[in-house]
Amino acid sequence: MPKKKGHKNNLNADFTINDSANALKPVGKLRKSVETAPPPELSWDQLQDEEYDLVEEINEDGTKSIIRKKKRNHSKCENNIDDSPGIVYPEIVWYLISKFIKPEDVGRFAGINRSAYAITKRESFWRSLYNKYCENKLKLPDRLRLENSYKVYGLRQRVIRALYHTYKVFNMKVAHQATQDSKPHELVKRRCVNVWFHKGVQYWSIYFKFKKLHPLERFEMATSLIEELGRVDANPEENSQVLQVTCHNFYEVPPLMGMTLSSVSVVLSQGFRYHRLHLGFNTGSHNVSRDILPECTVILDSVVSMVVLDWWHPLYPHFDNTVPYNMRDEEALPVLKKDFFN
Amino acid sequence: MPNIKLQSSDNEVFAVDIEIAKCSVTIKTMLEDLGVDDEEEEVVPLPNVNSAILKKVIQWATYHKDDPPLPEDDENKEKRTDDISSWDADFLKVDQGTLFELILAANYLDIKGLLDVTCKTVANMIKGKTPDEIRKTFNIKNDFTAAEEDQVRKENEWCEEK
Repeated sequence: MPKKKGHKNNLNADFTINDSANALKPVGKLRKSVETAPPPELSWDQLQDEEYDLVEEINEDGTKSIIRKKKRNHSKCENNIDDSPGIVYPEIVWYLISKFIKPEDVGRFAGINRSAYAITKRESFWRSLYNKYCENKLKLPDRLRLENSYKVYGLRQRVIRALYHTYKVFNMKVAHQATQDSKPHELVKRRCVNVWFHKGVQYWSIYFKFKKLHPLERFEMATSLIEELGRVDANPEENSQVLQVTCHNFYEVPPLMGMTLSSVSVVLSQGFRYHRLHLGFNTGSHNVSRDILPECTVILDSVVSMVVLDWWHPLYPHFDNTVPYNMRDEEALPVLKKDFFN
Repeated sequence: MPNIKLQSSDNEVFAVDIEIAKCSVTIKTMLEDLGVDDEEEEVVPLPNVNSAILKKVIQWATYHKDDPPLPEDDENKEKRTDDISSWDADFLKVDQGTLFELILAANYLDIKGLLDVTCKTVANMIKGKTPDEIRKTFNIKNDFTAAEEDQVRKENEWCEEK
């Protein structure tokens, strides 16, 4: 067996008289250990951000927590790309095929390779989808009509939202989701960025807007305003979800903006007619686990329904930074014109 | 019947009925621009198409020679992908590399019917597959890093089947 260099030295460091007395074989004279200087301990400030990644890990109880892990050698990964087998077809092939891609297949098409992905970032791609599936459709709300709009900024987002109003496959998807139980538990560990109310004819609706934020997310600044305005894929609502809770009564909600949703529980309320929703909130976005006690709890009794809305859902409240007409009601609390953490 | 000679990139020459060759807008324009007479047996070089693919293209054009001309492409109209004829479906039961080569050849030769049917076939084969399965099916190189792949998946959550 080959000898391991430095093996003895490491042994010496922890070898005591007791170990020697209890050893099965006689222990020879031990050499003095060679002191090796331990690596200097670095403070968090000294640790370079570039050296560490924030990684989401799943705990034993099923919850997720974010930890810092030493970055993998990305250059190695990139080398592997060159080694990966397969043929590289000219970009024109992907462009020609893209004309036949249905809206529901855009994701799988974009995921094939960089060339296909680049095509899904083009203005012409989204205009073509709009013209094929949304143009002049009666179901389409005016705010999403692009017939006379030449605005490029956020075009992708607007076309996707339009498709959810007019495209049959997505209509069916939304209808199917409506028959399923909502999953407010999925919102745990998201940060609340806005809360507002709306009084309907019979019920009150309370809206909690959550955003999935990367803890050390750096906002990429475009080099110029012109460049930013030309971003087809701009979407301020990316990673946002809204929990719409419809209640029989009005419930006052404390300020929650900036807090992280740490727990959700739904039970039957007294009389078994409605549900009672408990939402636990904590400050800080890290290490929110099931064991932690919420710093702030919101209890909504007499809950008639609750639904989690993604940004592309037709009922998702897009304000475009203005108070919507149906919410300009004196009895409704004012809506924050801008999300707290945007 | 007047013939025209088409020369592939690997220098194989195919004698083809001139009317069949004119299925290709590229060849048709070339003949018109050069003022080639029907009696002349000109050799038309096609440096972007190899003999195996050219043979398939001629086979397709021969079968479809009597088809009425396709209407002008309306970019604003939804394109169907479920209207492939059984002959075309059988004709395109080829290895994936050939299918992509046929797309390139149809684009170069400007044969709209062949281009449409080959693209439709690929679009249909993409359906219901994950990007990884698509890459394996067509032997396409994955040039994304793991982080990029994850980013693309997140960006396209809106069209995921849930």
